[in-house]
Amino acid sequence: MNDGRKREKTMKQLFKIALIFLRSSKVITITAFIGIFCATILCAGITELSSNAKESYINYVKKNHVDYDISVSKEGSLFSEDELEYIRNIYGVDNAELNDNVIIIWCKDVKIDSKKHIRDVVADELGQYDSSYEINVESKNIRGYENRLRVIYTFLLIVILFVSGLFVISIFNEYMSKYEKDMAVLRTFGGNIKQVNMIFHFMALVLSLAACVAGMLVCFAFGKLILNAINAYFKFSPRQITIDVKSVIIITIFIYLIFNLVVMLFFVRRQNVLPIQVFEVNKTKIKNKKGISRGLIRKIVGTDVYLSYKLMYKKTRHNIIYAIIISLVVMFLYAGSGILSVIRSNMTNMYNDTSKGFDAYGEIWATDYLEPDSISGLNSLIKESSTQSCVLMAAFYDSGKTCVENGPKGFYVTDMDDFMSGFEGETYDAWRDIPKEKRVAVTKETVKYTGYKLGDTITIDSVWLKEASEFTIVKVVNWNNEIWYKAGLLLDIGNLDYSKDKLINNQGAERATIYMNGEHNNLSLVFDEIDRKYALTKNWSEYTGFIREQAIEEIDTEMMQAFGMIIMVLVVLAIVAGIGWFNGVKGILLSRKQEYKVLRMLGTSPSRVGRMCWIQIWSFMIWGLVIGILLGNICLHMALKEEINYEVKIYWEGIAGITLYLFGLTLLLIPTIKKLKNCFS
Amino acid sequence: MEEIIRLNNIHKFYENGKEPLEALKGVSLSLRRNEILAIMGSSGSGKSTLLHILGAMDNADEGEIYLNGELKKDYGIEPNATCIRAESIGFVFQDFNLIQDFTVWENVSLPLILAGKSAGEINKRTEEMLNMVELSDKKKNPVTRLSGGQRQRVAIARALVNRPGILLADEPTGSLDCNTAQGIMQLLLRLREENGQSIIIVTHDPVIAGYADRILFLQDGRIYDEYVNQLNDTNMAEIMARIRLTPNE
Repeated sequence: MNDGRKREKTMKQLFKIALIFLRSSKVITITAFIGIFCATILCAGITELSSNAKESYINYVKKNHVDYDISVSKEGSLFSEDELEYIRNIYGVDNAELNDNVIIIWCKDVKIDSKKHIRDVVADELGQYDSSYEINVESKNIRGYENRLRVIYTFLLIVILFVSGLFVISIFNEYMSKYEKDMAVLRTFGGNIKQVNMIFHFMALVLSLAACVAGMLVCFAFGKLILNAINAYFKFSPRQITIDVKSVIIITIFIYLIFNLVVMLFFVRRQNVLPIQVFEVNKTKIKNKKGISRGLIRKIVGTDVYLSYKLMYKKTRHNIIYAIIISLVVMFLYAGSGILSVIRSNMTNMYNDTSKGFDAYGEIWATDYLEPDSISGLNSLIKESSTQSCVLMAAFYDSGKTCVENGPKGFYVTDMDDFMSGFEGETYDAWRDIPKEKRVAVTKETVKYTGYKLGDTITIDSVWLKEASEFTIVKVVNWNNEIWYKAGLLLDIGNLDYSKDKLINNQGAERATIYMNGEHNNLSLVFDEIDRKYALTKNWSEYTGFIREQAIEEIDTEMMQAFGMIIMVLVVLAIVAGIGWFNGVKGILLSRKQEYKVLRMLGTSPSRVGRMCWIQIWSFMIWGLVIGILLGNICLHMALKEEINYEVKIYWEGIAGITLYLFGLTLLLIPTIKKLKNCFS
Repeated sequence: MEEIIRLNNIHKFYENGKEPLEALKGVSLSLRRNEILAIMGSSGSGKSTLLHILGAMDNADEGEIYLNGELKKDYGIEPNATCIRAESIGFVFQDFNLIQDFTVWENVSLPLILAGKSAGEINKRTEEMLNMVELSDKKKNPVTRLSGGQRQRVAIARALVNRPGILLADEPTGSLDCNTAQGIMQLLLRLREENGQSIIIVTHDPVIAGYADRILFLQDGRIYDEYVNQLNDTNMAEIMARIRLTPNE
């Protein structure tokens, strides 16, 4: 027989041995299987979720100049082929993505149209066919969304692979520990290191293949159902989640390779069993550490705790990873929930600060300048809208001239009637007696640097004003984000001089800001109108606007999505880690069966033996939880640094859930403990 | 008779703090084909070290080892040590060292699998060995269901299935009762007759040593005494006295 065939036959036999080892260590094998299986499902699940969510928006990126997307759906039913054909005829294939449950239409070159207008046009067009369509128009910050989604997805993928990698390391540690002597026997009877390594290779290959394939099949069979249920709650994607067979297969292969690489790098290369180990009865190496008296330790922690720790020492090295995994899950839950809550508070505060308590906020920046005429026109536009309260402010600077001696160099113009009621701050008692063209408001910062007081009269001169005049300070507003000397004054818009020739050297306003209160629909209409104006006015470089509650809602939804993914992943990891931990602790208890017998023979009561068992069980759990919370706290502080002042909301319910789950698992150990307690009966 | 293995002036040192500990101090011995050699000695006499060196599990620091008349400079050094263990030596241990998760058949066929034998040969030789140790009817049983004597018979079958020239038995009857121990020794004698193996038995039991053709008595890393086919009441009493010196063994 040639060497090749001989080697092939030997491999087959070694493969059989690997299968026997896998089969005979049922508990370890099942635990490892569940770990890899769950990792596959999780990775495939979050890949599909995020790719579905991303897919809904990625098409915008491909098609530039698209501001809106319109999703058309029919509640409780799918589109027929005829309907799809009808819609395809209206919008063309390139402008619409057609599925059987939802149609996404991209609106090219419709920037000047309002959402409502688009909705109405689509409703009209489609309504001729069927009036039961649900039409939803949305505009999004696509790239920001995509980036955030990618960060969360990558983070979760790393967490899953890291935690499940640790899990696999722990499992293979157990295999190696269990089969070390058997491997020494193999070596004694002529087995070489390569053959021994090959057995572990085969074990890893077979185990991960079975678990990955099972995970993949479950993804195909139930993934759509489960992911849509999750999506319905967390709203990752506006559409139904679909499973992409190719990407699931790719992610499965990826996980398969990663796990085998972990096993190869961490174990098989380190596996160097010597035949002489066949003579070793007990390999435990307990080093006598000098310096601390054992008696002292025993006095401090108590005899029961001391003995419990001594008894669990032997297997601690193998099972410590489960405590680490529990710690990591708790850490990610703690830090993740904390960071997300701070991001949410941060962004909510940003929207609140920017909008200064108004319902909506808009901001227009000029490439060159904003003429007083256009500012005035904009003011009229928002005044004519049906919102309850509108304030427009535009900032003017004097190109180096001082508009107030030793004071601010620029000013805002606004409607001083709206302004007085719209913003918080100290108000001059007799402000109503002063004509609005003669009123001036100042910021707190301006007061700080100039020493102005309410009721003071100051002279303001600027090329933008009709003439140098005296103004009375009627209000000190509590803004802290304005630069006092640049725009520390607020005057009535009626003071502006609209004479064009001044623009030649002195330009105009750099930006205009709009604050509005009112119904959301009305506010949207105002923004749409401004948008239309923006498109027609070429020197507007940038226009942004938001309705505060809508923006905060969007942030909440995004945070909910991120949190949903984190929870989904961590819950599964916690379940898997719990199973591993349960097996590990059970193994620790049973490995000391003989010692418990001896303790009982020496007169230790059953309840004391039981107490020692419980100390061992809960030690792992408590260490895992406490270290997890501590690490989470450290991570949170490192991640947030100065932002820690914001409200940090920790998801204690989740941590309590993990604790309860682990506690529940420990109850399953009661029969084992009973057996150890009553070893003579 | 033909010499199958010869050890010449073997020394073995171990690290023991600053001073190296010399476990074997110039041990020389030879084993002839079909011979049974018993090695006895008190605790710390160097029996285990000698067994490790004979079994190619450890290498000697000084001295020469001849296998089948050929000098083997790399006797205990990998990868040659693996080949020697696979081809020339079979092991039987006090605690059997069977793979618990394997059946009787799987345990016995293991050395053949590791040697890369064909399926036909594996089946044939495993069957033969199981017949020899009278365990054919239990070949599908897991070893955990066997008695101590049966387990040791499986271990013997496993040790001899590759037809090694030497069988090293470390306290082969240490875990068995008297009757079973005698049964195992009878089996070893029979197999020696049938297969022509040479056997080295490390034991504390003078009765077991009584089955040997020669007995070497090791003390303080040296061969202290040798009895050749002379086991009688007098030297038996002497041996017993020496054993009593080490009651823990």
